[in-house]
Amino acid sequence: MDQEKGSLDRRSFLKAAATTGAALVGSQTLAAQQAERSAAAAPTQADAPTVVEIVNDGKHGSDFMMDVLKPLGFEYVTINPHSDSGGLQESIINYTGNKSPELITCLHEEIAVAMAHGYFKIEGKPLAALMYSSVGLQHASMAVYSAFCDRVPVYMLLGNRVWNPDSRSVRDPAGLARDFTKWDDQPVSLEQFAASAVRAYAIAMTPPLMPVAITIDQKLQESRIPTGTTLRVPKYTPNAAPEGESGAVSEVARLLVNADFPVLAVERAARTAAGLGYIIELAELLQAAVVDTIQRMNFPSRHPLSQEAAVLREADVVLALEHPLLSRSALKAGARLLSISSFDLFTRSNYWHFGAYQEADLPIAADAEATLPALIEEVKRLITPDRKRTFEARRAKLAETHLRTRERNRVLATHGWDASPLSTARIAAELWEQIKDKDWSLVSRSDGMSDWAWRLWDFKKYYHHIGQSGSLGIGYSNPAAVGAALANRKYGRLSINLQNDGDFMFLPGTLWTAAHHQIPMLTVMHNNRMYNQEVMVVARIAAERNRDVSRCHYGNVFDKPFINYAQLAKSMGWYAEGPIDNPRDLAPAIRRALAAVERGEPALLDTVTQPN
Amino acid sequence: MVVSRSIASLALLLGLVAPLLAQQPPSAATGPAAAAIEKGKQNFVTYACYACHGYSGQGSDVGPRIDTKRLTQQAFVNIVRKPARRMPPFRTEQQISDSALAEIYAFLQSLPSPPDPKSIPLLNGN
Repeated sequence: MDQEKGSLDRRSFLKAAATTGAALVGSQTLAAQQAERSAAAAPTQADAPTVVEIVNDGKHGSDFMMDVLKPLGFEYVTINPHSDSGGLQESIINYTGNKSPELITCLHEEIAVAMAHGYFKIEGKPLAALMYSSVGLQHASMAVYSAFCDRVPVYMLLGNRVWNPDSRSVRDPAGLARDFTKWDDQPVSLEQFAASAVRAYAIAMTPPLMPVAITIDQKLQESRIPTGTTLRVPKYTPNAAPEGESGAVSEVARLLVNADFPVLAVERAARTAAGLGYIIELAELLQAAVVDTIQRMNFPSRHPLSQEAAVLREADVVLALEHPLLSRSALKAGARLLSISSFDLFTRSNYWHFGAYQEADLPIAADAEATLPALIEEVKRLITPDRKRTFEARRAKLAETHLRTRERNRVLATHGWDASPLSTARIAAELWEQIKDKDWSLVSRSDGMSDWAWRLWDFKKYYHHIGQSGSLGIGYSNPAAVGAALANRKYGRLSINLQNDGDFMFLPGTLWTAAHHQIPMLTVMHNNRMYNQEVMVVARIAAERNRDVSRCHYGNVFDKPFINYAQLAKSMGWYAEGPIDNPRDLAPAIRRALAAVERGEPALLDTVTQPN
Repeated sequence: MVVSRSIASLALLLGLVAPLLAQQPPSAATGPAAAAIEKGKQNFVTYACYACHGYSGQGSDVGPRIDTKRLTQQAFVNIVRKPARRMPPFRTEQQISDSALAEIYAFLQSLPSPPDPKSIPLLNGN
């Protein structure tokens, strides 16, 4: 029996949000705004719980699992197949027709999870990743860790044998990743599965967002459900995100409005396009400088208030938004550090992703994006005409600084302009010339290639950039880019991936998934044929020890033989050209590759580059 | 332990980087000057200068552009031997000889100045 799901009744949702006390503080209006935002991102769900009555013996456990999972709104399930989740796989294919969700075949479990990571950063909702609980999760673990560090929900389904264990079974499979997941369960009945599956989704989607895991027993999936059984699909209602306490928010507003030189320091502040809008609104109200670590598309790259990190030294008040790693040592003595962050609401202790303790003067444990509307209203209330005139003068100075930075970047971009291997600035400039009038999306990190894309392109829409990796683990970029491109596909956006070669070779099988599922995107290689960061590290250590610097390449360079990325991509169904090392060849190659992408193909240009 | 570079290891290293070296912009110099420039180009890679400064000394987000047009050779050597900032120090002749540094200096001197940004249409659009 398939379920027919009605569209979300927003009025009922608002009522539910209000009665559950989800909006903890703030005015009724703000609570309603919050509920509206949450409702916009919520999956389709009927008002009342669905009761599934088994009236004949034709339904299996995994069919009911799909009755539970389908309303949660997963568009895709990334999968590396294995026998212990074959029941659910078959139900996805035949019971729900391989449609919403559709299986995405992955050649490695790390690809499955990293694709889900990238997909979320465009789409704002999680993918499910189906994998084997023992060796599958071991393969996937680094990608899970990246998602955890990056505050991205991934919904993992782990096949296991709980009732009839064999040599492949695991007693506590999710334990392997418990240091970097938010919640997990191993249900032993369908009733428990239903409750845990919906709970896991709710927990994953409540800030701070994080991966979760549900182990699915092989016998539970494959057994027939006895006739006469009545099962229930729990209703899912999204949690409203935790907002800051109103008194503390008012104090933050007062300090910002009265500051001589306030700075907004943003890291993972914009969870959605709405968050980007709030940060712009707050910055413009205060005419405050914004320093962005670009872990999310927090602030437009060409906004006059966008400033370099050095400006933090001038600030008397700094508001850190989802930026728990901002150190007081980056500020001048006596500066006040304020923080709104969900980081302390949930974290883990084993891996030191949390860094040093942040000595904030006024820390608010809350979701920044959910708190910003209240903060904005309070700032508006406090601004006087006098303060506004002061703010306008501040804006003029910041705008001048911003323009000087842009001009300096323009000059720096000329250095090595005609060099071979290719200058990374030239690659970014040549690409920009051909994509600037298209609906583009950078689906990779922007901190490679010396940040040239960020320095030269006009990033302003939320989907223009997916931010960085979270963990800095190598192997994230290639599959995350394909996941983000998958999300972009239905909007017809042009997905651009600036791809480090070292990262690329961790999971080259990602290319096959993109070709097989016809995910159009342009990958441009940052092919410097080495782990250059490590070359620099070993060179520095050797120099400091007065030893032989010339041997710093050992273990760090992979250029003998050169890897031919174009051949590799072609072998898996991509349009590809290269290696390209003459700057004059670049523009025509980009033109041809973009034509392939516009035909719906993935395309790769193997560009041999300068180290950085 | 101080430097213990073997000829074999250097040869191996040069073999690794030779295809990259071959693609550097040609110099107009001839004779001994050209030979010094060529050696300097190789030294620039051997001693990993390129890792931070780029193969043409153009700079990156890690290391600045090396503008030898503004530096005497002695000033250049002084910076390499006793760098003021993040650059690792090459303190001794055993790490890199003065003659090798002179060759690197000659190579950097041979490189053309960057073009005027106004002459590059790609950097003047939006």
